Amino acid sequence: MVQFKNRYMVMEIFIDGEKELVGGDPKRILSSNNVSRAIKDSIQLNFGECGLALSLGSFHVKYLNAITKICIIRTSRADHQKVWSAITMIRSIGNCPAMFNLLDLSGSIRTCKTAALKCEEMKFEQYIVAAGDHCPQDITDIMKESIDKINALES
Amino acid sequence: MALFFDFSIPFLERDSGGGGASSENKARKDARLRAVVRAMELGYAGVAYDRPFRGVLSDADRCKIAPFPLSSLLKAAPALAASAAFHRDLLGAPLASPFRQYTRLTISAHGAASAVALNGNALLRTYDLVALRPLNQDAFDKACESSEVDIIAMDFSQKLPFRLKLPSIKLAIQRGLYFEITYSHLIADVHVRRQILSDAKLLADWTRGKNLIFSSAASTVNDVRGPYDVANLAVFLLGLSLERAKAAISGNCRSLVANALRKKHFYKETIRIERILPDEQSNSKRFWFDDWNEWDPLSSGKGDLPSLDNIPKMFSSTSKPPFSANSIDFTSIFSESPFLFGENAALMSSTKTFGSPTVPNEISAAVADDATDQAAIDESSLLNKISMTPTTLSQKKPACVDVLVSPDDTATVLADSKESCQSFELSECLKISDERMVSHTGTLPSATAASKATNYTYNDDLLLSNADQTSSAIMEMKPSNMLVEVQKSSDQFDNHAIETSNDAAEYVECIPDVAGDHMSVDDEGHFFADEMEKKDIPKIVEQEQKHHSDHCMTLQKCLIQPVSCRIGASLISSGEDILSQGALKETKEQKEGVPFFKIDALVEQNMTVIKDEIQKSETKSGRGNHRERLSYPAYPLPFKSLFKPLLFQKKLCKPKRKRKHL
Repeated sequence: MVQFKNRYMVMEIFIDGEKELVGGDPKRILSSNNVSRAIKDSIQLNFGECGLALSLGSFHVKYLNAITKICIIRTSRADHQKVWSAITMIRSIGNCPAMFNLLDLSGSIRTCKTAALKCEEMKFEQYIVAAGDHCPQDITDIMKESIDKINALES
Repeated sequence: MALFFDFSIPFLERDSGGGGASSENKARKDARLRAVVRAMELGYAGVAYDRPFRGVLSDADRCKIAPFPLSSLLKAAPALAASAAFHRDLLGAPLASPFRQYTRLTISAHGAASAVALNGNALLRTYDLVALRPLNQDAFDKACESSEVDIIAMDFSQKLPFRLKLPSIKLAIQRGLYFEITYSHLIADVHVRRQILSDAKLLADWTRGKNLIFSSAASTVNDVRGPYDVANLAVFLLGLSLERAKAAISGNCRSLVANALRKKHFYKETIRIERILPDEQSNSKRFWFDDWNEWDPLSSGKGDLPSLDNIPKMFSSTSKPPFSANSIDFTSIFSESPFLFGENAALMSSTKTFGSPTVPNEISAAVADDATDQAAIDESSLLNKISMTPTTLSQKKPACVDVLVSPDDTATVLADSKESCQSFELSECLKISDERMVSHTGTLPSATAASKATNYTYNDDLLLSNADQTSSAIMEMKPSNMLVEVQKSSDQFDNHAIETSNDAAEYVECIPDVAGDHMSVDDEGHFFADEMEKKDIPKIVEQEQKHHSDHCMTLQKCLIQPVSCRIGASLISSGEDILSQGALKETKEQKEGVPFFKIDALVEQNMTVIKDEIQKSETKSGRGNHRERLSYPAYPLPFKSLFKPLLFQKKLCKPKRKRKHL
């Protein structure tokens, strides 16, 4: 009997036409529900009902940060390539054109956490640079919350 | 060292005719710009702008694709450099390699005739890459058989107008052509997928991932994907192995573009003719050959953006003008403070071109800070000087017990006159020098310390190296008649047969002098602290360093060791200058006469040792270079042999080995 194993993917999301969206719009588009649904749709479209059913077992969007647009997705090890391919072929979340890019692929939540923290840090720096002057005040609080969320993740 | 490339960003702008066309062009250019920015952000190291073409080439079809300047890229994405660096870090791609923009022409061929007609067309070589898109069976066969393009591109989004044949594909691979699979259609259109996958999988199976490249053909930003995502698609959908899939976006692309550029820039892929101005040649022939060492097989010329490391620097206010690779500034190398010597040595050994040590970037800053640095160094060296005396004395305790007390006095006096932190530093110095001395009690302390100083300069411990250098300097503080004997001792420390009682005894004798000097120093505590630190010594030291650098030019790089000795010597001797207040001229004579003579002798003795070391390092790094160079087979061999015969022999051997592997 082989132990059941998972894969954790740290992915970043690029939303097209970000600048046209004003204020907190990315948050509305990016929720773990929306992302999850988009991925499932893609799996169904590309690999059919059976493919979806097989991968649904452990598929879960563990974490999503709407500011830095980083998410952590858990899949079973057997199907992770399929899920990954399906994610690659996503062109939109809801009605908004978007694309995913893999940042890290790891086999345990522990390594995934460290990678995600590192990515969060870097992406947040970039966000600050890109935002420039019009940077909301409460954003550091949100970042702290999200980092706490990553630290609290379990399997 | 995995660089990822995307060789197909469609270039759809037409030559502008009317007003409507220009606005369309602008929109297309904008889309292309954004796609390129995204590609760079995702960690790609290069893109090619692909211009599709049908019909017969005319002179109007010269390459007019202008690469985007860095400013326009940064305008589109302000955090571009940081993001690109972040992604490259994750991908394991080197940051130092610049982002390159190539040009590419894709010609649609309708028949065998048009496929072959391209051969030898000079217009094609105005582009970096040339691709052929066969539109029927004849064209495909001919393209595989005899065309001289780089890439055979197939449009899998429609039903292929011909059948793939295994023999022609094998032939094409043998001839070094590459097949291209584009993935943007796969992502873009649901209905096209089944069409693409059936044909593309056949191609991937037959090529087995060899001579296969993946590219995006992304007309919008949204079609570009990250390198690993593309590799995963190839693994999962096309059934390639992970290594092959990764090679298809990195390694294969690299060799493809290197070959193509060689075709473009070299006559018969081997000989490159460049015009050099006559005076330039007479000036620096050697440096001109060094240029060939730096030859970058992937460089797209004007399409290269500066490397990611440099982008932030370009916009910072403290940016310096970049040094040219060939210019050598010996003075600036050696005018660095002696205690950075360890770093200098590392730089020297790490430079690729042995004849011309490249100039470290910090130097211009270091020169500016020299004055303050030197002051600090003088201070610390003095502290060390004092700290050295008790340790050397402790070895010969019975000889002079009363002197042993005096250094302690000086230490306390100094600590009083200066801050408490420095006294702490001093005690540290004492400890360290104690340890070192104890470890080498068998030998003459100063001589061994000097030798160790040069051998172990790689450790960054400032205090340690300070102690060592002052110990060597103390040797030179002795009266000039002593110098001869010290020379003797230094003769011997190479052979590790030391411990001549004469030297030791005399050495001890000289120490009271030193200590006495310090006593007098303490009497003039204020003068010491003020003048010594700030004004006079830096000047003198600078003068001397000029001397050194002149000397160094003649003595080549073997001078590494003596330089440290000398600078240490200069520090101390100039210290004496101030002690004697106005005996500047005398000491100058001394500097120019005795110490230099002595050090020259030292050089001769140590030459052999250092030479051996340097040769070792040369051969080592030579090997590394050699391996790098293997990837460009048509390297101008005869030129190499002019100044590195060793490498040339090895070069002959290596390809044989390679053939065995294949």
